[in-house]
Amino acid sequence: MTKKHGPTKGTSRRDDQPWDIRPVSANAKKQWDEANEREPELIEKVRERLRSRPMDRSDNPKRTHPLKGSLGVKWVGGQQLPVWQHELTGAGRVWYCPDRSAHVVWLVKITLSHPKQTD
Amino acid sequence: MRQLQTTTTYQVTDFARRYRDVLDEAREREVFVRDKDGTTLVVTIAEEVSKNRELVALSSDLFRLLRAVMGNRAEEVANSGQFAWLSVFPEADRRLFVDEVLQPMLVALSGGPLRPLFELIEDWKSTAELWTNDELRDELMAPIDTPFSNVSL
Repeated sequence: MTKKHGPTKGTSRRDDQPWDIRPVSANAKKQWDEANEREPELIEKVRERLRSRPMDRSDNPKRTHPLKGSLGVKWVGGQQLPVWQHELTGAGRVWYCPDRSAHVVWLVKITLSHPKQTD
Repeated sequence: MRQLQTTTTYQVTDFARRYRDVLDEAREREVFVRDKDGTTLVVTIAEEVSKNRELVALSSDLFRLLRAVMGNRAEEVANSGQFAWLSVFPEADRRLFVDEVLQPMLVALSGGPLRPLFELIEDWKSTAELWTNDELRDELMAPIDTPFSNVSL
């Protein structure tokens, strides 16, 4: 039986370890795979970023944001987590929920087209 | 914006004689120069003046926003200048924005760093973009009871 990973409460991981990126849904995984197929180099950069520094905005604060208000938190597996957005390109975006306690980045959605357009 | 500090006032004759010293001091803090007719002029870094003007304009718009939000006058939010984009948010979020922005605004107005204020506003502006796309917004807000997570990406 495959072990199912949920958000783990109370666990502490060392900050220098890479974050684990997991999709919150089959749809999020599908979006990731499709984006990876279309833009493998770009997605590799995104993967590296999310694994090493998902909440780092020092290089370009205008491209990485915590969302605010009611869009700023999301329930994932019974935990309320912050939602972050990173602009991959002028048009592409990824939304994710960093779970500090489990050192997991939950991938909510990724798109290579502009968010104002309907996917 | 630089912290308020004791300001030196020079007579115009001192300024003429020791302009280098006066200008060097003006790089550190505002310097006053009193002209022969009694008018006092300020010497300071132009960028500081621009920041102050920007902050004053922002404060003015924030007051208009506060009036609209506190008075539950949603239609006035669209007329709150630099904060008009907040009109896409529901009322609870607009109130939350006001709560969050006041502290960094007060810090900036008292001579502290501007970056936290502008960063917070940028975060809210980015979120506002998402409120213009109903489908995307609903997708982002949907709770995930059982994460699909036996795979790592």
